[in-house]
Amino acid sequence: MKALRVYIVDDDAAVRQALSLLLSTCGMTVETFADPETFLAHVDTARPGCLLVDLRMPLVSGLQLKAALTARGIDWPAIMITGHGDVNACRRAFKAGIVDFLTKPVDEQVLLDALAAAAKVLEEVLERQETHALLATLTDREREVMDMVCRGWASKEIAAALAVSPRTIDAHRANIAEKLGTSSVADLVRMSLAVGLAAPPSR
Amino acid sequence: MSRRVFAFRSIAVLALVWVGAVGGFALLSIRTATQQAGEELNAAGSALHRIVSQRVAQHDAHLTSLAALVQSADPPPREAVRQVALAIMRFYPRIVSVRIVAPDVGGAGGSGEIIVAAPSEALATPLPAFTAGVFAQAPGEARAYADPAVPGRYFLGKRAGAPGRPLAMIVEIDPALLVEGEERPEATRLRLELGGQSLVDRAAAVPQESAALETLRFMRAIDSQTQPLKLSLDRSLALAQVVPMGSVLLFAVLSLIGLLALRYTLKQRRDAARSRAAAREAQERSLLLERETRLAHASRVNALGELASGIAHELTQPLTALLSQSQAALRLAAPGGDAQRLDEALRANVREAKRAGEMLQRMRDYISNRPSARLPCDINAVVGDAAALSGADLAQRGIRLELDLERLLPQAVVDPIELEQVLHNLIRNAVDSLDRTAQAEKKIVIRTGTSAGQVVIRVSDTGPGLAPAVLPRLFEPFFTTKADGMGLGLSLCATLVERAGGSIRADAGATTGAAFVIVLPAAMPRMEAAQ
Repeated sequence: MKALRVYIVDDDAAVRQALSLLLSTCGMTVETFADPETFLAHVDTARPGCLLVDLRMPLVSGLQLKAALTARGIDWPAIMITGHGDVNACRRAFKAGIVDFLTKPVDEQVLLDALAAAAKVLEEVLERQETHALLATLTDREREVMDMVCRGWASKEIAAALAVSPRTIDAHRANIAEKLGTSSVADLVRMSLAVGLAAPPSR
Repeated sequence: MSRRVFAFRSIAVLALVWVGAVGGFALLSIRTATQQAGEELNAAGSALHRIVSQRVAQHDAHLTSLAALVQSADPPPREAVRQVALAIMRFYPRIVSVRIVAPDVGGAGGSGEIIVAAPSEALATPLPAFTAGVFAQAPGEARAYADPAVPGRYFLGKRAGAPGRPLAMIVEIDPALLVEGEERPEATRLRLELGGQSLVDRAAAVPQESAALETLRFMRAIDSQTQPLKLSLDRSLALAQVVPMGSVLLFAVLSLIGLLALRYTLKQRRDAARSRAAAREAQERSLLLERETRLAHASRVNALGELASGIAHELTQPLTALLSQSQAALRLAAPGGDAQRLDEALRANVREAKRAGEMLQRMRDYISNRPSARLPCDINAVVGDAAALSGADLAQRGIRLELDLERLLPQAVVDPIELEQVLHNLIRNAVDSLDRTAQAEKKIVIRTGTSAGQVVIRVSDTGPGLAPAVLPRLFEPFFTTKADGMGLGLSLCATLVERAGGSIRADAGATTGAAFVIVLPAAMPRMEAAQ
């Protein structure tokens, strides 16, 4: 597994330094930021990672940071750490798509478990993004054919429905297999479900 | 000033009351003395009147007895009559002469022929003009006459004798002896009149040193059918007689002493009441202060709940760092670990533990209820001390501290250590604010002055100033805009300044940077009589 990248955003320098040291000794790549603005200015979609954010930072709170990232299409998992065991803040955190909510001081094992979970989420997010990108390379006709394949239709049936020859359908399927890197119907179905394209094509 | 005017007025009132009292007393004395003199004159007059009336009645009696003797024979026994008359005159010296006159036979010449005269010299005395009138009287009738030719005498004429042979008995009386008594009445003038003619008019030799203030008069007719005399006594009263100077003077002195004593007593009582009120006020004020101190403490203790969560939040940061760093250190201490990073981690741990300790100390300072030692202080000196304390630090940071102190600033009653703490906090805030700016001129100005009898201290900086949003919450505990602030500094400032009876506020009128204004009540120039 590739080394997990963690972005720490906390206004307390000592806390930043300590968490950074701990996570780096666990073999993670760590980048620290004193405030959300700096992080937003430096965020790079090419270097995805998990967020470890203090909920009660002055100026821009951790929750607002998450919202700002979502607005930019960045859906990386975030873990909130806070000095206040505030129930309302906790509820809002989960609504905002925060994967975990930890209170300071945070124990190493709890933090590592949360980061492991976040890493898994990140993996899914990235996979989904990849699938999305792959599917985006298909032509409209190829998407149509793929949908029908995912519904379990045979090539002949698809050809009849689209009023083309079965040979043409086969050519499409070969292109799809090449673009998506798999010819397995099961893989196609999984990818299709991941991006939410399992709906029947509109007529 | 107004008190002095009041005192003068009170003295004027006092003098007026005194003069009034003395005047009243003098008037009362005059009235009493006059009344007394009147009563005395009345008594003396009545006594004299009684004596004169008795004496006059004796004349009638003598005449009656003489008449009886004269008529006992015809012709009258001249020698016997003379002897009796002489005897009467011996006993009663006021009877000067007794004459018995027979009418002139021819009717010509004098008024009659003296047949008996006592003393014998009276024989040569011409008969008074009224003798003829006596013969015209009814038989036995007696009447008094005055003869202008003989002033200072009066006469009593009685007609006697048998019918057809009338006789006139004429008795000459000295009225001066008539009013002579055992004691002289106290009168300035004594008069006896008969039918408008003055018989006696005796004025006492009264020294005329002062004009008569009032003249009293006693006047009464003598009780006699035959001799209608009128007695009158005058008594004039001089001022000196009716105003008893001695007693008036005594009264004046005594009343003045009494009034002064009364005024002194009243003043004493008023002063006593005033000082009692002042003492009570002082006591109430000290009670109030004590209560305020307790209240300030209570409100801070009340904030303990908030404080607890504040402590939790503040200590969370160093604890988080400590925990994570220690766990990292454990990994680094494992075989094959990085010794240098381990060292770094441990140093950071020491730093964080100290930081937590400092936080606890600040918290302790805030909670501690040190009794403040307030005394009248030279505020400029306190400002100077606070400035000197942070001078080195400011110079190191390139911040200029400017003092603009008003000379002759009144003193204020504060705890100098507390005020210094307040100023130190404000300077710290200004420094933090200036550190955050990239401004060329970094300056803090502390200015002292007076406004409406109060001492004003203004601490301003050239930093970015205060955001309007934070203004309402500035002095709330645990409200902070600093990353590592606890939000206790200004809250503590407010508590300390308010404890000294002053106030602190952000100067909203500041155009550049932040400004805080502390207002302290000026100490009274001198302590009043309140013990």
